[in-house]
Amino acid sequence: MMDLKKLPNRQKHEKVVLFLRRHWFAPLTIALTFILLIVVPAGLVGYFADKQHWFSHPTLGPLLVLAGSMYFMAVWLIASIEFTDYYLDTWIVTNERIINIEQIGLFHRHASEMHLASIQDITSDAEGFLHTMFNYGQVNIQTAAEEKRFNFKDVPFPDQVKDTILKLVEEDKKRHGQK
Amino acid sequence: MPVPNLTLPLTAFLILYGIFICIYALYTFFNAYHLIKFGLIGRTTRSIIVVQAGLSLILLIVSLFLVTYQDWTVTWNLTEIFQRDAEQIFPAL
Repeated sequence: MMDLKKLPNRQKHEKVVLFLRRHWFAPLTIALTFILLIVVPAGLVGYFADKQHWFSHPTLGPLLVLAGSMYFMAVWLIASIEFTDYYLDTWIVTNERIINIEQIGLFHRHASEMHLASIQDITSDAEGFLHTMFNYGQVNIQTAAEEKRFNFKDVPFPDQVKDTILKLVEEDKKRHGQK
Repeated sequence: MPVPNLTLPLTAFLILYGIFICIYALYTFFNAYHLIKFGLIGRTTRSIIVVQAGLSLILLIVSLFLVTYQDWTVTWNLTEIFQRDAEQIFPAL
């Protein structure tokens, strides 16, 4: 498991300032979709109450039970994988660097880091009704590193995140004697 | 010319179910593995792992219980079904 106190290549006096995940809207969307996909078929079974005898049919009954259990298990599996995808997407901002970890599906993980000194430009963006109402959006960081751009997707309080990183960049420059 | 008697045992569908269960178990395992390996250390991650693995297991057990409760010895007589359908569509037959 990942321990924030024992980050890889941790420098002396390095401390974690921000630990970010996507806004809680992401797991809420997953949960609502999951509930819809469970409730709708269950509701249909209840609605067609006069067809309940199908389950006692010698050939149709077993097949309905098989198809039904496979469907519900598949819906749960997809929902849990989507949640894991959300949970493992993280952005860690320390007083020395930014670590970007992106879980893309179950078998693809992308991790990159950049030092604050290589940051050239930071912008925050909250576009849309929901983004504005719930104050979440993107933070884009332009760098001089190999990975030119870091994008914090749907993070809460993007303006505050941008301001915090800018402040850390300034402090890093003073610490390392840069202008 | 006599029509061949085609039958399909319902147990054939259990093969499909068995393949599905293997895929389900594999993905559930890898899901938990990723959370254990890459999740942030703490109570929240541990709770998520327990809930996800627990619910996956419960669903699997309930499914296996419901499936084993059914009578899979029944055989589908495909010849009868096709003949009956053909007679409904083409009554002269």
